[in-house]
Amino acid sequence: MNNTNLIEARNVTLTYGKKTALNGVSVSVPKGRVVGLLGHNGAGKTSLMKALVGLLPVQGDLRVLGLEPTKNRQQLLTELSYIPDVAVLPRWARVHELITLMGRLQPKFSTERARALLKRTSVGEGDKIKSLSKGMVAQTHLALIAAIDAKLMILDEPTLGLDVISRKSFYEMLIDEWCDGERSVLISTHQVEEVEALLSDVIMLDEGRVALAISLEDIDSRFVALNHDQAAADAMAAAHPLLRYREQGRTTSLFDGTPPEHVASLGQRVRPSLVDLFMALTRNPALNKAQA
Amino acid sequence: MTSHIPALLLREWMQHKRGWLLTLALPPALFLVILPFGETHGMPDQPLAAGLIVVMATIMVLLLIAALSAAFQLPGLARRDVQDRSIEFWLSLPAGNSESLLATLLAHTLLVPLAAVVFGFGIGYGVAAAVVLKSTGVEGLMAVPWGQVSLLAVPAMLRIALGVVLALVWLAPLILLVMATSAWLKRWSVAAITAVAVITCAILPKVYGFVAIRDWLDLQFAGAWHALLANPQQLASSPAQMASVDSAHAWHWAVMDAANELQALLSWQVASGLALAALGFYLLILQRRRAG
Repeated sequence: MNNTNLIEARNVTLTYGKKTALNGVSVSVPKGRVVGLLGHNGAGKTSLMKALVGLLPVQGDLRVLGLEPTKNRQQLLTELSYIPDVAVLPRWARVHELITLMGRLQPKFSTERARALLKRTSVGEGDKIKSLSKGMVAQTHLALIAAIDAKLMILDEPTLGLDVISRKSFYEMLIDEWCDGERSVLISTHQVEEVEALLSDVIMLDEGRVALAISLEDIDSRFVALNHDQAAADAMAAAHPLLRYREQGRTTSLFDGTPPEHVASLGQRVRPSLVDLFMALTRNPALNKAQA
Repeated sequence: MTSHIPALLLREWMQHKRGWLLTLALPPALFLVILPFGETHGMPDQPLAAGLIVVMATIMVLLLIAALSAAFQLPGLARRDVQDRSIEFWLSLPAGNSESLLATLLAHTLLVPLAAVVFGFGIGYGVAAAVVLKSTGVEGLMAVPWGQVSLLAVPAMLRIALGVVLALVWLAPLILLVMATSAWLKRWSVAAITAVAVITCAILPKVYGFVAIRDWLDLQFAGAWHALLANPQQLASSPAQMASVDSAHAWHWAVMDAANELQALLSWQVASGLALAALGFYLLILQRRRAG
């Protein structure tokens, strides 16, 4: 185990009866990273996140902040910030009541910081949660957990169902007020395009397995996307790209590694987007083959 | 690790304070409002007995209202956080499941009934004054020896307060098993509890002559009732006798009555009840863990 990693998972497996939610997952998250956890519905994202905060027991070796999550759940939850879902704040509560409760339940919670963060939003301390929009509730939740002096934040689909302005405000607050180069964030989302610019690393899950765990810098060096016209299509297909997709009226072929030289010269190298990579690595291989 | 129970009790207060205050304050307020338009019958002639009986009756009525209110709320409380989706928020905080459940039980089954006793004692003087004024006029009111009423009412009130704690020990298995049924069976719980009650208390004894469960339940309810006030007639069996009771006798009665009921807890009946209560508590914790 590497002590500098905030999350260290080795061969982690989680099952619900006969269904395997996580299958031999091995990932690590060092400090100062913003890691996107991507996967289709049912890929195992939420299961992994719940395992990380000790809500689900796993087989294998899992350490978060040096602790075993299920054995040290209460201690772990004092050391990290966690948003399990969007709009799960108790609807009966007023914002100032939640600040008071967090102050008493979370030893590393700063009331002053929570109040300062709330001032960035349009939410008042006297507001009742049930009177707030879904976006405002999400921002309130972020303000509350960002006021915990933690090293790690885990966000499970925190902006699901929010409009674009709410999502943007949420991520702005996250980057401005939380990420300082020392703290790390693990964020699962389906809105890949929106978070791509924030991420330093990405973990892609596919049917409980890690399809890819890589930094965004390494994506550029490892994966090659060639934009080409129709005349080069057969040659590209013969080189077995991971994925072929249409982009601005032309076709782009995505390769894992450097394509053969004669193929590389047929297209113009472009930066592969995270969405394309995600599609290439996680969609049904049979479908991929058929469409190529 | 520090206990989160005080903070979780604060949460209960924040969530339920309005209902609790209404439950305790509204009945005596309504009574005082309608009293001038009604009539009073059967008030004892002795001023001391008149004052004391109304104070004690106020305590018992408010305790009954608090107990009924708790009885109606407890099945819902077992599912409260799951129903409003806030369970994931509470599970993201360092408080343990046992602490959360214990705080809910403490607040609703112990602290609110105790508050009803204390509040009833306080407001009882106002109610007693109003009733005596209504039935015997200003002269009668002036004749009540309020100091002596207090000297007798305080030990009786403290005996009832201890009785609330003891009664809770007797009722714990029923409370926790009903809550567990509600948590696990959700909307089917009412039907399940009704079916169990009909089978164990009517069908089994009448059709099969099997009375063990019914007798066990009878003993639990009788134990709870006696725990509250075992032998009030030993303090004074009639209003006339009440006039001759002094403070020392009242304290002696309260201590002996409580001691007898404390001794009654050392029985296999109570032990079997506590074992069932532990099972109910475990089932509730298990369901709370699954809900996360």
